Amino acid sequence: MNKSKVGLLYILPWLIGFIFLTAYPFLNALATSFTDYNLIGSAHFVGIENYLTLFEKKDFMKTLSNTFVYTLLTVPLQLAFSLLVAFILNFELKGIRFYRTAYYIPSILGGNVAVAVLWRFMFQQNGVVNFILSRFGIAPIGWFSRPAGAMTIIILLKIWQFGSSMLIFLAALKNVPKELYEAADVDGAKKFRQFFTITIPLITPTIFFNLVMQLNNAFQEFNGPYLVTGNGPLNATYMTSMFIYDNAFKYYKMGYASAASWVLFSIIVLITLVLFYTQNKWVFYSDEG
Amino acid sequence: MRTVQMRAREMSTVKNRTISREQRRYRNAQISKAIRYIVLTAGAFIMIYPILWLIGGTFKDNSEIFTSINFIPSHIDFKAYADGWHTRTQYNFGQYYLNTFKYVIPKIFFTIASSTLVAYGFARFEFPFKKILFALFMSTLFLPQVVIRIPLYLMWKKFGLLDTYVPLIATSVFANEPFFVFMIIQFLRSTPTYLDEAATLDGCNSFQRLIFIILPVLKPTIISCFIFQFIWSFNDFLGPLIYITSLAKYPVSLALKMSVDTSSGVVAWNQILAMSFIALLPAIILYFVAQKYFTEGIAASGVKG
Amino acid sequence: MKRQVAGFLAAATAVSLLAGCSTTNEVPSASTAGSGTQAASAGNGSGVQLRFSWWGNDDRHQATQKAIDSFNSTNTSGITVSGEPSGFDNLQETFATRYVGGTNAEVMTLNFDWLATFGSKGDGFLDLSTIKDTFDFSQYDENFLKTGMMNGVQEAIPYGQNTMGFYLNKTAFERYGITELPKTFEDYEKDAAIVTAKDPDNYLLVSPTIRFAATYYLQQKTGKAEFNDDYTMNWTAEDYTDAVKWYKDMADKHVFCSREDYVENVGNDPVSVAQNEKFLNAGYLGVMEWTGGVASNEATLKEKGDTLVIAELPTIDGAKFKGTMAKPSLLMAIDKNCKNTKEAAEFLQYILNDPEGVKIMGTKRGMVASKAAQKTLEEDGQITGIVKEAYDFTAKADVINEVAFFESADFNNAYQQNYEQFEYGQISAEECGQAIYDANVSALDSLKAQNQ
Repeated sequence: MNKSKVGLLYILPWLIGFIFLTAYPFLNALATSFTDYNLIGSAHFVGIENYLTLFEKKDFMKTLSNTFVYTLLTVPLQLAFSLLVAFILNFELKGIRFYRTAYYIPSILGGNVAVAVLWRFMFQQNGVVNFILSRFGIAPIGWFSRPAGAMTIIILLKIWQFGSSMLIFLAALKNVPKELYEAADVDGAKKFRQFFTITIPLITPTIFFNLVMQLNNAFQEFNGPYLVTGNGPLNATYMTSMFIYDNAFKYYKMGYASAASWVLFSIIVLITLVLFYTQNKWVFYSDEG
Repeated sequence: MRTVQMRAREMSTVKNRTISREQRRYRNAQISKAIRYIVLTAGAFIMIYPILWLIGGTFKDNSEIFTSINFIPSHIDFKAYADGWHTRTQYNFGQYYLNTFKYVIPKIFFTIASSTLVAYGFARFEFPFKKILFALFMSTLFLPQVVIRIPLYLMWKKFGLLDTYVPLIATSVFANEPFFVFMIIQFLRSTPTYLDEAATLDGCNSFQRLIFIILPVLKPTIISCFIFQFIWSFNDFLGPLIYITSLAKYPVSLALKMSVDTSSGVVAWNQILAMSFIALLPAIILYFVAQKYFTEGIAASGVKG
Repeated sequence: MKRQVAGFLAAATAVSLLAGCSTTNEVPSASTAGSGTQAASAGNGSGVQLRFSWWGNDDRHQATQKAIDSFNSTNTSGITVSGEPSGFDNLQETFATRYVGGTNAEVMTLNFDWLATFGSKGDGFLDLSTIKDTFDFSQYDENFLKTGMMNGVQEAIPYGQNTMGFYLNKTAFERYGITELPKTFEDYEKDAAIVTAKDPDNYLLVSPTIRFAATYYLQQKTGKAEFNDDYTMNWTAEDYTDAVKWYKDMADKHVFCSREDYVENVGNDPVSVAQNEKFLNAGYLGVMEWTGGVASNEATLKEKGDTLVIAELPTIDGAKFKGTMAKPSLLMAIDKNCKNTKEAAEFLQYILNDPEGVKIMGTKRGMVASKAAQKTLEEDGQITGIVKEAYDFTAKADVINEVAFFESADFNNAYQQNYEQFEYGQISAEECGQAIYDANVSALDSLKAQNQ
């Protein structure tokens, strides 16, 4: 490693941008969180009242618990699924380019209008999902009108759109030198074991990256529920980010919304700090020799 | 039942004896290949169903779209594409495409250039306050965006840069999209440093090392950045919505949403779906084409770990 | 995994650098909002530039753009208007951002509740009494014009009236052998029994929010509007309890759709059902909606071969008022800092009252309130079919106009959240009524506090 100030020069573009594109507006938001600013009229200092209200009211706590449930379920599932698919799509098969494109398409679709309409079709009372379930003798389920059902829908939607992390895994798998595999026998079950003993350790930095990103995404999830289930029955799919959005632009309670976003921010940062602390134990970096 | 199983087992042992090890391995490979294709194809169908439905929908009328999950339309007619393309504003989608590229291309360029520089700085150098700066950098990933929209908007207003593409491009110029920087950092950190060290001994300065040693290694990552940034900025709706006010500067994402107002009048959904499909095409084609560069990757480029 | 332009500040170094930033660290307030007219160049003879903002779908965009073009080529004052159309997505957020930033168009379209949010003190938009020499207010019903008035100041011109009505799928009723459409709530209950005997999941009416039906019920029960201009309310907790009980009873009888059914088949928020599968397949045999939405509902049903008609308004037992609620569909306002108010007024006069402009604008924004415009459209043959029916219905109906803040999201939310809990069996009707009442009181308190 070079011990010099040259490094500062390289990060200079970010530092400049950080100050006026990020720090400034966020300090602004922090200041706002201690006021009753409502877009019109002037703001009055109210101390920590907004923060107190947040924890007193059931609705904010409900969105936090929804967000935690959603995160705990989607992140591991999506990581495992995208790694598995990336592993399979990394094989040299005929037409593999078509398959790689096909599996990425849901993520390109993102919040397209087709997604919202189709997911409603799939899970509606007489939709495809209930039809398949009926073949197994399961009575039709009101997916949208049951709290657990609505949550399931948006979790599946998230897992279905696994393309970004798959793409990153794919790029990482390409970086694993082929010689390491060729050295070992490629027959049968050994291949599977190789995946755990050779591949996984080598791509831990990428797994770490995807983990951090997915956690962050899940904690700030907005599009999925916004498009498909809304708040859900009994606010079952009402996420903290939606709560912040509603308070800022539906109820114009800017101070309150800013306080909520600082709480959410603190939680994500805390969890990420813990993750960074644990990474010495399981993430292997080549640049550390 | 039992005898049948036993006979089958016997037969397979007989076969095993007669068929050479090579052949067996070949047969097993064929079977596993077939299974792989079946699984892959079934999965792919689930994945692309929405886009098939979307394409089918472009040929349907409103009531057919909203009451049928079948993607095969009852008739084929490209009127929706023609009508949708012309829009009912003074401009057609060609203009909106042009506008989109006016900021998407600079965005991609600046994202790659400045994110690589910043990632290189963080991953390969020690400098004063690095720990604090890196922590600040990471924290920028996690802040909810909603609440900064208004302060940021007022700032760009003071700079007199509203209704220009500058606010949309600035975040890329200053590498303030930490996703990309962090991704490159993680890839750099999984790349051995001995190549850099060798180059230093050859007399390369730090910038030359970046260009000649690091960049070739980063190729798959940079292609990923390219694809992500293309798709995200092409589809981004909220950014342009707030900053771009004149119709002449509208990008595709805004033009697309402009017609989707279900609260008033009858919406020609087949036109909306046709234009959504056309808006998705560049990303799909780009992804399909760019894959070649993943498959090459580092393993094929001759740099061995 | 969207790009993040976010950050937080903990380091002293960055704080000191921040001071060098050209902007100050104060909380933005309306006082920092500058003039919205920087685009206007009122130079000598070079002509005045104005912007006009609206939202809508393609039809509306096209008609409005044509009207603007026509105005630009015919007006003798050298005014050039440019259009700022938008879709419906994130409308509220965009408007709020632009309004606070002072970059909104000089002539703008408003939602009813925006008028209450941004103009409640009477100083949010231009006082339109200043343009009365140019704009002909006499074309408007004086009472209806008051809906655009806040704190005694005429801040906006209501474009047209939205009246709450019942619309029934006549063809679907006939399929069940019901030839005479229901007129009273007893009729509805009777018909619902006939329909559910065959199709137990069907409902006679879908009400996008229970608030539509509940307000209808309580207006009739009390003979009063829900709120008064001075942020007081006319209904008690018992009234709300009554209303949710009544609705639940109606939902159990399949007259109005249950909340559970709405969430399952339509969605969480009040939206137009014009494109809804259950509505199109006559799983709902009718809809309770503002008159502004009826044309779309009718058109999509027509594609399926069904006919939608406007029903007679039913009345509840012991009604003190036999009518329905009304509000302006949307409103037109002028920026308070606009320097070319006379020109802006000329443009409004053209699109709202002038036969030429009105003809081009057509009925793409629903019904018009201007008498001149109404006459022009009728003579031009643009008012036909269900739109004509809607006009006749509106002309006949007794209405109570609700106040501008009636549509504030807080009130809708109070109903939605609490009724849902009641229906899902988590709270009693009494608790539900009390909760709605309490939520309304606190929302009114904060509205009042903002405006003093």
